Amino acid sequence: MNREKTLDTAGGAPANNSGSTAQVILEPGKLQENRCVCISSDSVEVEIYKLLRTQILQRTREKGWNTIMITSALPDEGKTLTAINLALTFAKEFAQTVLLVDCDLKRQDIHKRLGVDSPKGLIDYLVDEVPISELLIRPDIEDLTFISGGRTIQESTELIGSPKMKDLIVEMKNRYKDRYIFFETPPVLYGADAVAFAPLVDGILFVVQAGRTSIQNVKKALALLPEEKFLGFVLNRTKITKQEYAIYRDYYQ
Amino acid sequence: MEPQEMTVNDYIAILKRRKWSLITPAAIVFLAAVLVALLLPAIYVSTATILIEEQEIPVEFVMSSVTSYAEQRLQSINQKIMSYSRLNDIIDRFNLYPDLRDRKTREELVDILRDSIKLGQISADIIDPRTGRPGTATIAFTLSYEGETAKETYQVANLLTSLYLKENLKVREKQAMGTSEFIESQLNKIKIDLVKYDNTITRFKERHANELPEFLQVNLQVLQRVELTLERLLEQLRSLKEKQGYLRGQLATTPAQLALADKKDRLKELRSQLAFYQTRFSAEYPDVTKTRADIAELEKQYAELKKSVASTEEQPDNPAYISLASQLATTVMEIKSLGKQIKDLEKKAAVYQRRVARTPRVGEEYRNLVIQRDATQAKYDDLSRKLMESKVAYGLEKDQKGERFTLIDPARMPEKPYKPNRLAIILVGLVLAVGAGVGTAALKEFTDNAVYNAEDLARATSRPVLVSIPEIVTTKDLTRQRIKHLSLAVGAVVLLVGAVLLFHLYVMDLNVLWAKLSRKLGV
Repeated sequence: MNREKTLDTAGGAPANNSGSTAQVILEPGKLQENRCVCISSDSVEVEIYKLLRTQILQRTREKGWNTIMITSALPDEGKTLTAINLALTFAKEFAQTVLLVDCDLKRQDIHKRLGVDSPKGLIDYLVDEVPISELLIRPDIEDLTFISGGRTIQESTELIGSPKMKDLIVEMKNRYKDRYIFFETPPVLYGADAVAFAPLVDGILFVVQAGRTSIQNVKKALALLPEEKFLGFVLNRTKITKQEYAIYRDYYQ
Repeated sequence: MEPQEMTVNDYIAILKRRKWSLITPAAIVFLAAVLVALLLPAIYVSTATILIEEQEIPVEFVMSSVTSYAEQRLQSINQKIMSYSRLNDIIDRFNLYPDLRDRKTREELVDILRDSIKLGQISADIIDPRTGRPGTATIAFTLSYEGETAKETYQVANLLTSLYLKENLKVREKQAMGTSEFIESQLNKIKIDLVKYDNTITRFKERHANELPEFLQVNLQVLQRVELTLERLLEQLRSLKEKQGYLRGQLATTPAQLALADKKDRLKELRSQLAFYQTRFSAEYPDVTKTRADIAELEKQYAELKKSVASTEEQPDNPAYISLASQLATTVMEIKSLGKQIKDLEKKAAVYQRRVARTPRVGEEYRNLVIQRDATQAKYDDLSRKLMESKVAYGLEKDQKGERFTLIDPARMPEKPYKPNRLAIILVGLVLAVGAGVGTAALKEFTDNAVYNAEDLARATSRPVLVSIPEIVTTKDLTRQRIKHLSLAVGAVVLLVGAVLLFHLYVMDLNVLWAKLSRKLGV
């Protein structure tokens, strides 16, 4: 199964083009610096992401969900980081492949966070018909593929909600049943992208930044999203004391 | 956030995240309080106590003519002392507020001075000896002045005290003198009135001298006597008139000449003889006829004689006639004189009657006049008595034996400023600072709707919170933080040292500052 999976990471691209998938090598130091901590298992936060992973798996597997959108109420609440760390944690799970798609067409920065160059992104597929296989980037982490980079665009809602996008997601979802696909979307209260995108996915993961996002904004955003698809919140950037942090660290290392 | 039981941990969490909201306002407020405490100018106060002493001589002996209450007088003196011109003089004399002179008008300066003078009253519960009722009386008062330097404060307070004492004396003396002067002038006016009334009464008496009630008895007696006399005289007159009538009759029948008188006598004799005969005899009796013839002869002779007498107008020579005639003359004379007498008496009676009749009216007028005069007199007497009293009272004030102000505690040079209480201000500032900090933090906390923990989020949305991810701290973060802390600390130290150095060099020597601070804080 592992073998098979490796071959299959070509995503939605036609099989005859499988060789074009870009291979990149991630720099652990840079990732650490960008807080993509789940690359190494000696990070204390890894356990927490594992807990998140377990919960997501529990909630999705029985329903057969595998497309999950990650969004938040306001920008800069930690969506990208959560998506990356979550994807890393999922990919490290035994027998779990992951595709991470940057759907924030106004601000493509998953590849920046990961510290790699990426000249093409989702827009190239939606606008210029560039085959998906040319967009896929495969870092040196087994079972992880992502799509991000290229240009940014302001008329993103039309693209996100287009039938082409819908077809793409259906295709992605159905190609490999075991694969989890995470879509990072723009914030709900800033533009219509997330709302337009929500019907296309199975589940929604909602990131809330502790001490910043107000309850009102969270409720406002929730009202715009389909309730049945809501998986749960990720409360990001909570403050813990040094002592608590030390306890964590000592326990896990 | 819905109301929820708060645990100690919640409070600690709030405290932690509102650390700066708490510390910053608290620090600002405390710093402001310290600045205020140190920069507020010192205010000195100098106080004099003045006792209000009661009159020395018992009130029963000498009543003071100054009847206003001490408090009242104090207030009026206060108004006088606080007048613009006096305060202005004081400002000039002691050269007060030199630094405010350019910025404020004279009136504002006077107002400031007025506000720094305080009059306090010391009261005691007493029982009024006259009415026996309890009450409060001012037994002393304090006069204080607040100023910027000890010496100025002491001098101004002293001057004010002496002004008060002097003014009180002046007021009392003036009041006492005013009283006696007023009474004197009233007395003079009434004196003039009195003289006027006396003159009127005298003139009235002169005019109605005999009609005054005190003469009524005399008048009545005289009138009675006159009337009695009049009656007697009238009686006399009547009898004289009778006598006159009789004499006239006699005279008429008495011939003036003696011959005629003889004839008449004879005739009379004959007639009575005839009458005698006629009763005894008849008419033809010879004696009767003879007598009758004689009578006729005689009558004839008498008539002839009378005719001749009348024509010859001889002096009467009949002594009887003469005597009758002279008697008649006397009687007539008497009647005449009596008549005159009666007339006089009647006149007199009429005069007296009029007097008696007019007495009641005159009496009333007179009484009215006397009453008015008496009233004026009473007033005059009263006023002269009062004048005497007021003169004594004036003496009382002049010799300062009346109620007076005694300086029992003169103003002293203050040794320490009494205001501001710098330590207290700092302490209050500390309390305020804590309040401001806690208040700001609480306000922030209550107006902040941000999500802080998973429980709140789950409760508010009724959706699950899958995980709470702590702030991811990289080694670079830690380094950066350390550098930041270090640079902050170094910066603060440099700033502090620099500030102290600059202060020392350009503002004030630190030793001097220390000395000043210790003095200001009263250590």
